[in-house]
Amino acid sequence: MSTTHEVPASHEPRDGRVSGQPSLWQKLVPSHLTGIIGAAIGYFVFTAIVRATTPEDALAQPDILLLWGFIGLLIGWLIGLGALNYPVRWILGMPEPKHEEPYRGEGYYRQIWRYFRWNLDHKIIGIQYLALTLIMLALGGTGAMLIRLNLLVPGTRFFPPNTYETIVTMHGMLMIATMFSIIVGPFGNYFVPIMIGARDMAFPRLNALSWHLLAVGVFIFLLIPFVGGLQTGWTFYSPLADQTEPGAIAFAVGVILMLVSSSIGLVNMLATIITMRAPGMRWTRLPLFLWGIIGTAILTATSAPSWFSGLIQVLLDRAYHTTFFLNIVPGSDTFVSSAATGGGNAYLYEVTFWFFAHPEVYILAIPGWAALMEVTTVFSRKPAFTYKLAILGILGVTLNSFLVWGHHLFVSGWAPALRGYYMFTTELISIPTGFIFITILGTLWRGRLWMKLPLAWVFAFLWTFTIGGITGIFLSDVPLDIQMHGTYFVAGHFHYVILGSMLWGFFALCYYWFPKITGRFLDERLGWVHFWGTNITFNLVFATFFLMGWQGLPRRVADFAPLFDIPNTFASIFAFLLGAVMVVFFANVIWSWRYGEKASANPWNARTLEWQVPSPVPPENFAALPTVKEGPYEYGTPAAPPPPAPGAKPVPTPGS
Amino acid sequence: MAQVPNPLPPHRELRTAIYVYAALIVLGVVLVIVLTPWIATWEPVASARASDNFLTLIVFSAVAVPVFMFVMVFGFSNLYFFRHPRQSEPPRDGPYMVAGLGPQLAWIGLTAAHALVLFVWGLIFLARADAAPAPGANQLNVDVTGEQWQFNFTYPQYNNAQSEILELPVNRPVYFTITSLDVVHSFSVDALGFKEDAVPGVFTHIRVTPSKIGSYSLRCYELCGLYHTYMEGPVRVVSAADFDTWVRGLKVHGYPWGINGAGAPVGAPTPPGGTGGPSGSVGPEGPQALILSHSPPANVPRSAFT
Repeated sequence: MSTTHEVPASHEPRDGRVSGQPSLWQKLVPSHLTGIIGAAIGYFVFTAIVRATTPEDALAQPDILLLWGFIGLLIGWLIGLGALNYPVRWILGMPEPKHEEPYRGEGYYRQIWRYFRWNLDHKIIGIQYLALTLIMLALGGTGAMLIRLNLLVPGTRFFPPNTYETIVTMHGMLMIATMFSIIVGPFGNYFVPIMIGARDMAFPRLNALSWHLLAVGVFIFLLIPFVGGLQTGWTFYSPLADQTEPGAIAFAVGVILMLVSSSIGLVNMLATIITMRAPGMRWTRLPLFLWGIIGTAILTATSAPSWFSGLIQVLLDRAYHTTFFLNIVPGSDTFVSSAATGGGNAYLYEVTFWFFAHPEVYILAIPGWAALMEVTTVFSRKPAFTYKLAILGILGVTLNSFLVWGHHLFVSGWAPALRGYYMFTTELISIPTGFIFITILGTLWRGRLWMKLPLAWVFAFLWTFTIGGITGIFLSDVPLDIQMHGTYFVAGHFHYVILGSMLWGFFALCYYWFPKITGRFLDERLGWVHFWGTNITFNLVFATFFLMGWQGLPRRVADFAPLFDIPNTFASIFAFLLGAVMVVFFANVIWSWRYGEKASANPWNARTLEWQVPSPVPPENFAALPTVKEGPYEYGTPAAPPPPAPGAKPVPTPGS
Repeated sequence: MAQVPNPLPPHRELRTAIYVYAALIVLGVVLVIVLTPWIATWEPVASARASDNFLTLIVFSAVAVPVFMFVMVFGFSNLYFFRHPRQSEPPRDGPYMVAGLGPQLAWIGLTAAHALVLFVWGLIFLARADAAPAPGANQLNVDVTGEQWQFNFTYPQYNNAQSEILELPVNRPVYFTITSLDVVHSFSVDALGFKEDAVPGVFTHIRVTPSKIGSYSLRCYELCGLYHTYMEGPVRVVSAADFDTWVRGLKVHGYPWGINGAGAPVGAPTPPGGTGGPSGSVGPEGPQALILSHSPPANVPRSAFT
């Protein structure tokens, strides 16, 4: 018999859009290959135009050339991809372009070339996101290894200061960008439409644009070492960003593209959830993962424009000598009062930045929490203990995180009278965060815990994030923050918070949803090696950070006092081991994708909609839209029919 | 969603967990109080500000113990009490158990009270740290000017005497006025427990009263470019008489600079570096624990804003 929801099983293409196999030419034009060619052409055309039209002395610094080169690169990439074909043809009243037309035949997801082109299918975009974010994670992790290599022994034996600070900057920003999209990118794109019972996103082209902007943004960002490096750290504080190497241009353009990508991707998901829910999918029947997406989308859409504008101002300051953040006469090393120059102010940048960058922390945390709550209910076989309080927690954190950015400026001298207020709002945020904890703890309590890897990562979260949260309370206290600001204590704190919520949530989802995406399980033995290895080495590395931070070791320094010799060597060795364990995870993903144990449609016996369709999910997800009859976690309800046995095929319901 | 009344009888696991929780709170608080002082033995605590911070660290750790232990006990005890014995097959569903109003309100109330306690503590100690000295306390003003990659100090009450070494008299309130010539720096003496950014075009302030004679280290805590790593120096806290001798031996420039030079005409010559005190009096007199033992690369350049 059917499950609690009516899910028709037939997956015939709904309007018969099946065509024959395309030719090689049709596969390659347009594709990422033509996109890359277009990007190269765009770069050279734009730089040639700027060279021809800009006075000689303005080109003494490469900033203007690079800025316009990157803009040309972006435009060329989009044209080469065929991303602009549709809007242009639509404006001119021509029929839709053929290359976007999804081919809905057998073996759709096995045709590798589909992943290397402009494609509107949300599941293909989800897998593109998974690949890209894993590559970014690997690159950021490599950066971490290089940082720890330099700190292995005192005396900067490995990298000169410029290289070291460039690595620190790139590690920081790449990891932030990775964590930004590592859950909402792959799993959000893949599962949001399925979980609400829709066939695709509300705006599929926006969705494709989101991934392709992230890809080109990451590419431009990776050019930093080739245009001189960058010594600002990911915070990119302005007078320094104006003064440092031209890598700042690559940083600003790359990050702007990442911000736009995240914003449009998440707003698209928000629109999808608001408008495309299946019949019966009330707000109180929405899985908590989707509530996490809603909170994240609100946060991103409202906070990202702040740093977006800040970065554009830095670009203008650098390329065209505007003075948004500068109060120093360029070319002079003489201090003058700001009234005598452009009147720019360093605080303006700091506030612009942190107004984005504090909500950003919760953009990283909320999807992780939501993912872990989702997993907790399935593997404890119980309904969410406090479903509505969990929603309130997500929305409360969303609101509250706009009120706390000033706590990053406790030592900056900016508005000292506001420090008490920011201390208050910061400590207040522990209340909605507590709602997440009561949900998870209450759901686990008296459950029947099925100790599979996703649930194991929930326990890892309980340990890691609790430590991260408590050390955050220390830093919210103004006098104590004045002592510890800018030390390794802060570095330890945010690694515990971000990895503990986002990355552990990502791992939980990986083990949870991998069977749905690929039809195969991730290998369990390798998974447990990854689990224990990660948790042991992670804690050894970052607990050392707390100790060093209290002793005053500053962040982002290439060398350290003899006091820190032993702890730094210790942290480095275990960081290398952590890196090795991550290689195990990557190997597991790649190996299991092809050779993993085959999974049935609903191996976890879960009740949400995505488990009621076959694995891997067929094109268009549902033949006819399902009807939702009850909440997502009605485990053990006397009123509800029993869940489907694992592997049972859902039976079509006529007339739905 | 049909509203299902909670059919579950009271259970012994809850009682066991509560006992374990209570025991672990006591144990945790004792451990925090015993172990935390150990980590302070690395670097001296040389001002009321720093010792207050240290007290806050211990108190906050102790207050955090119930929170930490709650998550540990009520999270991890599930593994002992409620684990499904076989991994290979899915368990039956657990009991249908959702929270009533009581537990939710209790949880909200407890977390709110917890946050409020920490907030009040923070306000009290913030006021203590920021408090202006008593009127007759003979406050010492020190102007700090950050530039890539060093701090310079001016003593306006002593004829604008200038130094690259910071020397302070013991038990005399100090009022720092801080600015930067180029990018954002963060001026900090860890042993004295304070940190304040040096922001170009802005004067920021911080108060501290050194309470222990000794030699400490100062450094920049905000990434300020290429040689940020080497932006550090010694701080000496000496007796009032020693300070008086030292500061009167310093070079005095014909015109003020740094803070007092804020109104100086654009293009005024920058005073040369190396205005430190008599070289004989410079030198470490004790462990400057945070100072690099390795010499920085030759010719770390001075400020050059391009």
